[in-house]
Amino acid sequence: MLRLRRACATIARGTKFVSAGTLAIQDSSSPKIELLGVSKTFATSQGSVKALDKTNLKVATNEIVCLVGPSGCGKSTLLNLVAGFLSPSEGSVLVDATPVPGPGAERAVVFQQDSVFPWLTVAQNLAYGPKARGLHAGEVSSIVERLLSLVGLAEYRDFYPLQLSGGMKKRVDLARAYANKPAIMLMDEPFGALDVLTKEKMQIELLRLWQEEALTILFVTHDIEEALFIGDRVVVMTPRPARVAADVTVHLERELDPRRKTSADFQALRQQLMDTLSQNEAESAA
Amino acid sequence: MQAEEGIRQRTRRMRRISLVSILLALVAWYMVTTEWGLVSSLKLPGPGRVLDTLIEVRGTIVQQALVTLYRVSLSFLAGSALGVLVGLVMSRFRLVFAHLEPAIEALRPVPPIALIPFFILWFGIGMFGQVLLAGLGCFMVMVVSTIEAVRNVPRIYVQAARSLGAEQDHIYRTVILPAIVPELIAGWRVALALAFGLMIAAELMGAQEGIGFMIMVARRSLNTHTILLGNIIIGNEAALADRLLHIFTRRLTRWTERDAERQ
Ligand SMILES: Nc1ncnc2c1ncn2[C@@H]1O[C@H](COP(=O)(O)OP(=O)(O)O)[C@@H](O)[C@H]1O
Ligand SMILES: [Mg+2]
Repeated sequence: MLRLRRACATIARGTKFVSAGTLAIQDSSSPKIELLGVSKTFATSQGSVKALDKTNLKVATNEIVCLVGPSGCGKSTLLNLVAGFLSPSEGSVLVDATPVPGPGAERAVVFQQDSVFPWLTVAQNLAYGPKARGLHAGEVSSIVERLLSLVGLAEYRDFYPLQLSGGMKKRVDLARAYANKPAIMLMDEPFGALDVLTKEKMQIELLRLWQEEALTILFVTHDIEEALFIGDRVVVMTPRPARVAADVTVHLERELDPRRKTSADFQALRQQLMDTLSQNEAESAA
Repeated sequence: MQAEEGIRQRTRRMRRISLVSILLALVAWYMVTTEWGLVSSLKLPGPGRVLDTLIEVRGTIVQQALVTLYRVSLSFLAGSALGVLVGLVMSRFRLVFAHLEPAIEALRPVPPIALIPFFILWFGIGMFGQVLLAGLGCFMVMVVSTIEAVRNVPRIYVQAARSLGAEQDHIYRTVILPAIVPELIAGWRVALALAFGLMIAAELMGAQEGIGFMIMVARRSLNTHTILLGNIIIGNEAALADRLLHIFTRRLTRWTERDAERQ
């Protein structure tokens, strides 16, 4: 706890910070996502690997929380726990105050790797979720039409993913995840492989989506600027095994203009977070 | 566009090269057997002799060739369809896998040819036993290919489908099945060639018609030109069937890189 406070104390003015234990929740209802003392240990042939160590995290309804941390620290593991692909070795992972039973359509996932089905066309990929849930053909096609125009891929509806650029594929991925109108989107470095311009467009597209609909987002990234641009909160994690090192509430203007990334406030905050990250790493190395 | 044109040109050149090498082999065959007379006509009949035989028996040979082709198609279609189905069910249900795997693993190393005497004993020399034998071969190849292919499906697709609300059975139909098709093609080609081999063996050992039967009858009278003709017909049938399989599977794998390149 002490070390945690100290890490938080380095965060700039203009932000409100809260330690993981005593998080202020925006509304009085229970958090949408809650991790309580979650540990995860993997058994491998080289011995066991502890990826998460008694991690606590709360995400309020309609909040965007960005997770940043050194690579290999356990961010994907945390996300996979919430997605229900993994179960915790210790502690509990709650969604709407109920333990996560396994993967489900109310928690959409956008993976770090390419996960668009290559054997389906763009339109078929978008239809996959609604169809799997047993919606009528009419409903499915109206959802597909809406999504195609939302992500600007109407002309590419009958293309196979192989025929698309990386950025287009990511748009399909995003739209497909969103097709089920999930309450939660879990995103694992979704834009990591994109060029700067496409990345910015995608960030704005995501924020638009989030503004229009009720959506809680847990977003893993290694890009601090990205985290500050889209997050309500930025959670910095320690090197493996991951714990929450700092939890920063971003109080910047929430404009959909990427130019705000160059503002002094934004850059100051970015520098502070960078410092927290590297200080963290130094401490764990010591 | 230019690259595509290049690929097409290269394909055409490859075809020309293949054609030339076939012609060269034919010429060599002719020279060795007929022109130079290096081997006796009994040991290796020349092309002229084989052609004469073809004209002589053209009525029955078409009949025999069609019989064999029909039996092979039946064995291949039934055996490999069942093989893929059982492979999928075994991958899907651990309990089924635990039950069937030991039996399949025990039977797999046994060459089906070694079972022919039993098959004749049990089913006689009619078509049923022969189709069952070749079908069994295809079945074994496809069960193993399918189980391995399912293991190789990237987990991320299954995870994506589950988070999109798909149940396990739905995932097997909509994710696993299409994802394994490119890998199954190798299995299908092996199974098809095996079906031809097994069918000829079964016909050789006990049948009433078919190319294998024809070869066996010819063997009794050292009628080597008919034996060679039978071999040539089988080779062509197998090549044709492989070609058809290729055309069919290409439609199933339009989404893969291998076909995107060739189009
Ligand atoms: N399925 C697994 N089996 C064994 N070790 C794993 C597995 N998944 C992740 N790990 C290990 O857990 C640690 C955290 O991994 P991950 O959560 O993917 O990190 P991040 O996403 O932060 O880069 C790494 O050391 C990784 O090797
Ligand atoms: Mg990761």
